[in-house]
Amino acid sequence: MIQRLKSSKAAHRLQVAGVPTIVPSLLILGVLLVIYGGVRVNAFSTFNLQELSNVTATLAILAVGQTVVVISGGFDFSAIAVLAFLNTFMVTQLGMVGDSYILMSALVLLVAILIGALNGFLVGYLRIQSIIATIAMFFVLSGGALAFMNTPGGGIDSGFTSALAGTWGVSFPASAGMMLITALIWIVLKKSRFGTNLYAVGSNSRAAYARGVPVKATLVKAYAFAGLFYGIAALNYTAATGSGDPRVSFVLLGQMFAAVIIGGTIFGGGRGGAVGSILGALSLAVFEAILFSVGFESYYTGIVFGFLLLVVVLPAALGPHLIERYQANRRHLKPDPVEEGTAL
Amino acid sequence: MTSIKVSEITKQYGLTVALNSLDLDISAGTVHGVIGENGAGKSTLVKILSGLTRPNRGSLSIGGREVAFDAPKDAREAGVAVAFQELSLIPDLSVADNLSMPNKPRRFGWLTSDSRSRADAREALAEWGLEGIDPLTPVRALSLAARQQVEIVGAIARDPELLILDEPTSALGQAEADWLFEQVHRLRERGSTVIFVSHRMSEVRELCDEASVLRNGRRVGVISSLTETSDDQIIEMMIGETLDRIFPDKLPAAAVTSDSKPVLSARGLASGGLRSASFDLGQSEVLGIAGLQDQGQRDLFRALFGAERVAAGVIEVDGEPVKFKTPRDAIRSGMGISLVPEDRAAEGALLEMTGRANITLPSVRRFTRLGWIDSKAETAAVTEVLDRLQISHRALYEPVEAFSGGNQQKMIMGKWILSGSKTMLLYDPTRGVDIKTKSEIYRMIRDLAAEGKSVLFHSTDIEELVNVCDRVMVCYRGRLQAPIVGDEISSGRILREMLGAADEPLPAKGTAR
Repeated sequence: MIQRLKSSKAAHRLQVAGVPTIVPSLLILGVLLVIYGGVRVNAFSTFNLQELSNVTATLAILAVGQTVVVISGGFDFSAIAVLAFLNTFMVTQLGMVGDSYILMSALVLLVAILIGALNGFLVGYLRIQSIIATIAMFFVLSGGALAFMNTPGGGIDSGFTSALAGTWGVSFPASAGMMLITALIWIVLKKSRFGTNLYAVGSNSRAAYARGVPVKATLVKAYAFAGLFYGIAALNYTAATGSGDPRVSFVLLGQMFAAVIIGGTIFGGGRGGAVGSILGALSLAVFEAILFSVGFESYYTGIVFGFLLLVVVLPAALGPHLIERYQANRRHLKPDPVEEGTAL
Repeated sequence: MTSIKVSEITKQYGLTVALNSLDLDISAGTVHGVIGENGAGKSTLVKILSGLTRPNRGSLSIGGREVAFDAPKDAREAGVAVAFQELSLIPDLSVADNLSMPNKPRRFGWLTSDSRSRADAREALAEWGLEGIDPLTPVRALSLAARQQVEIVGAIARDPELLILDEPTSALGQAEADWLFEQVHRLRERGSTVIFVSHRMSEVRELCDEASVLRNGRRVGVISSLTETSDDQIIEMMIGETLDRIFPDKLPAAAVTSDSKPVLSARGLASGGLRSASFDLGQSEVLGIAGLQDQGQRDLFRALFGAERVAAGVIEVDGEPVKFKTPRDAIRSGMGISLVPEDRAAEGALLEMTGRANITLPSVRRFTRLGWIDSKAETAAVTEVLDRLQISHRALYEPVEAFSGGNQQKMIMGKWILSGSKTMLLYDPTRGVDIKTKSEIYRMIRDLAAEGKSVLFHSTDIEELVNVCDRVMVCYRGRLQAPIVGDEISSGRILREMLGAADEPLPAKGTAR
């Protein structure tokens, strides 16, 4: 008994520190990496690791933004349109800032934050359901992207590409650096009062309100920070592709939510964390690399991937229900002594 | 030391007047009890004092200063701390985070400090006698009683000028309740003023210096000396004079004899918050179920309707044990158990569909030929029901949402009448219904009984139970008490059982009875 108490205490400590949400996603990533190492020659060569990092970064950083919104109790469907909008904005409007990539990057981040804050205003102050508000914004922004350029094209300076999508130093991929920076920003956010308020609002906004948490302001900030992360993702994406593309990718949309789920963040709010989402995005990339290495036809990867996702979320979906049933049965297992005595 | 003055506060929700020009005077440094039946206005008062809602009229002053709260934040800043009945804890955060929210201690200006927040929480928990609770535990992992204690400490530890405890013992056992009383005494010694909202009379006696009795949103009495006022006097204040209401004649209770076989019984039924219920419902009988909020009666009704899992015990229909997995089983069983749910908008009616579709929903099979609805037969049947219930024929083609709450309620009952249910489970059917419709519903209940049907009838209005039911049973802390029969059925007797006054020992200083 004491043993069990101790271990549950340790579990609580871990939980408070935010670790256990990461543990399952670490396990998934670990298993996938082992398989990957088995099926691919030179799996962990510098080149292959760089490649993994490069294909993961945009997705991972987008997923971090989405995680902030999901923890607040909402969904953000505008994310991929924000990406396309900022990408085309950046490629077509460079002249506005005298072709300065530094100024342009700052401007992209600013616009991203403003778009996010507008989402947050719609959800927090106008009380529009997050799905509806962000789908509306999705249409507006994907239309905006087409207004900037109606076909893929354009080009950017190769210096920008090598700074944000090349390597830092000899072999450290810039994409990994950007993911680390993103993770750092998230950790600081989580440790701020805003972080506590974010979890509180997502967990139970009425209780949070009764405790004096500024619920509306917290929502605006949540979407604004999500916007900031989409902005970082857009910089990475633009640098990596070297061009503008007004089309939104629905595959990316699905993968973004999948990364959040695999990362251990629970839809509905209040639980999870963005570091897990980065691991989730990495898992997706490794998984694709495995399928590629074993010679799987790329048309079919979607099918396998869909089933994998279901398998991953199944314990989370069924677990609480089963536990509740078990506890309810135990609670009532002992017959009521009073009632037995007075039974008719 | 802070005195509290509430002057002529009125709060309306639509047509319902929750508080009607309420006055309260609470002297500084006292513990003041607020008692009253369900719907007396206690919780609205708490909401106003805590800034969750704004009154339509009236003023509030704390320590002689007039205040107006737009949000809970304002109330907190004015020195009001509230331990809510429904708990304002965030389940996914740790005890420490909950206690420090929204002003978690910081270092370097921006980052919050877990170690300081933890130390603060440990100190507060130790100071108020909860050393056993680890500040790192997520609230989700605590027992309900421990959560309520943390909620209380969260309010007390802020050293408030005014502490409001809203039904603070609802989840506490005796030991935890004693703990609470000790802490409240300590807080009073420090000079805080305390408002203690409760329906447990023995606790009010033990803890409070004075008490106010609320009824229908007004204060109907102040008890300045709790030791010199008996339970009966207090109960009388809570009930008030019996209003002249139109209740139908009850058939002589002799019509229900013990030798007739019960149509519906339960033995040791447990489900959710219901811990043990045993009863027999006879043919042509109206059996009343009384109980204050959350005493298990809701789960009793839901379990009987197959909407809640039965954890233990059996349900018998006509003496045969049955198992309802879903409401569909209950409806289909030979008995036809029917539930008029508490929240009709959410569970009882398809508001956008016509009255006709709603009324024939469970019995539409009878009006179908080869899968097509025979609308002539359907119309005839629905018209008959509408006439019987005195609802306008508009209901044949207009959506349910176009009707008043009372008429919606009647249509829900009508659908079970049409489906031929022999047993009706009525859960607070007169809630939010006007007085005329109420009396029609009473008549309908008695008519059903006269036709040989059986009714299990829960109401939050005790007078209804007294005047409509053949027998009444009280649900208290998850247990169904022995039936009250015949001349024993009185509002005083029922309320006494509802408050647990019958079995809770009175404190030594109480002189009642």
